[in-house]
Amino acid sequence: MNILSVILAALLAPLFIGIVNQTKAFFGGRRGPGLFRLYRDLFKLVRKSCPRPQPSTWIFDISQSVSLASVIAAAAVFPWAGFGLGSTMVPAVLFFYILAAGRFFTVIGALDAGNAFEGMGASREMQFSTLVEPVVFVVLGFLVILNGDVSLSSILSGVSVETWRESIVALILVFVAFYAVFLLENCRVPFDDPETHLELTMIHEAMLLDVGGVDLAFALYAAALKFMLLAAFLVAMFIPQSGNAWVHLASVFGGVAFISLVTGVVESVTARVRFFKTPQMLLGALLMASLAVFFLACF
Amino acid sequence: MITLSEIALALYLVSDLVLAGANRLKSAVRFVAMQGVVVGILPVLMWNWADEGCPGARVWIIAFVNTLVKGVALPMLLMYAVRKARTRRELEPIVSFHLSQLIVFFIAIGAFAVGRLLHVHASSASELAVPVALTTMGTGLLLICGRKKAITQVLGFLILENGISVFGAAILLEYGIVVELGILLDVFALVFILGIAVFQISRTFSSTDTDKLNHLGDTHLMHPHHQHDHVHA
Repeated sequence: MNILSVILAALLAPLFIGIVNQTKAFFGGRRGPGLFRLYRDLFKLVRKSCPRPQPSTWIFDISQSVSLASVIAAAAVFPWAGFGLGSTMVPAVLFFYILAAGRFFTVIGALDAGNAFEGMGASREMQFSTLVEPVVFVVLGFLVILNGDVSLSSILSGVSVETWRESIVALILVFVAFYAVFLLENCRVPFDDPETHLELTMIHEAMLLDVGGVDLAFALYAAALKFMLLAAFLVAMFIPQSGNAWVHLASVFGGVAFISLVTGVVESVTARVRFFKTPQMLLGALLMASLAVFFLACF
Repeated sequence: MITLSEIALALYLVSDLVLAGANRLKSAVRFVAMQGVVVGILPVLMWNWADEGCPGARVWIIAFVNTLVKGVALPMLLMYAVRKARTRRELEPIVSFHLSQLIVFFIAIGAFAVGRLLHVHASSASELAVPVALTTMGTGLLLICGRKKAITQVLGFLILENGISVFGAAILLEYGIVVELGILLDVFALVFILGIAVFQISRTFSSTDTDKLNHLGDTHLMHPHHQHDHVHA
């Protein structure tokens, strides 16, 4: 069951990016690339060789593989069906730092390529990830207070109906705060645009300029997997508890599909904020999460 | 229906924090419109459906008129004023956006502390309603005092009135319709006048910055070298 759900998650990941892009195409009045575009892209890319920029070293070679490996590790411990591979022992903080390790390798890989744009992208990526950390910690604190345990599977096992009724306001505030984290971590529109290749606005894409072939497939797949993982985290915090593991699994994936749809709509109707506005938006997210903790502690 | 009304109140808290940090006027107007729609349907959501059955025509009329005026008509007017005044952003506010968000955060905490002391929740539909109303009023006041653009100040006034309406919905006024319609008339007249005023000011002076409007009048006779400041700034 555990291994099956991880494999299922790994197979479904590119589909959700397809949902986002198809939603954006619908709003843009285009036919869109289809839901399975990323599968075809990945299939095309894995058959190519990896070009490597001249001054780079072995760090560049391993960076994308290691970062994909860390995202897969995070996906493997994620409690897809309400419990996961050893996720009773995995503290929730570890989950986020496995993802952070992946980001670290993407960043040093980008620096190793010796391209000025990639260095700029790396610097921005690290700046934003630093800013996002306090929000993540406050949200985790909220979940730990709510569930009384620090392990990943217990904070993501869903909330009971009574909790829904009693602390709906706090849950909504945390949802909004973590949705901001989700958008930023996945470089989605209000913070970064995954489609842009204009040097002034690139953040994540800038780090991948010199990556090609199999490595690019790894990078794209890691991004898709991370998108699904954090969306699943967002969903699993809020879905009501159900005894059945299959129902839980189905509702997590259904929720991720819904979050993808919402993200597509958000990207279609909002403009990207200015670079300097991002810290302030994260401050807002932090304050919302803190307010939620305050409600939970005092009411 | 308690849960639905609490979702509505949570939306209020979220939008208060967002509005305190919003510098794009159009998206701020959209959030105020959202608040208007929510405050319009709040009496219906707070109605005690289980015990009292379907609410009477009075409640529906209040909900309908409120939603129409605060959620549709006034935001459309303000959107028009934003377009006509060609001011798209609030730049250099008196109280910075970061600080505004922090202030709203502390207003919320204070409001929840005070809201419990007030003991109004015995008669209200939800014990969250009064604190949320106080937070919203505080946000409105902050925008009136802490922003320079005339349109943002009008938005602040609208948010303040939304807070008052939430307060009214919370304590379930017996003769609510008279009070509600009174508030509504008040808001409508003021926002209408201010909206037109902003439009006229921007047509005449090419800026709606209230700091610059302070220099209007006869002062330029005493300081001749300031004469053209407000026209071209």
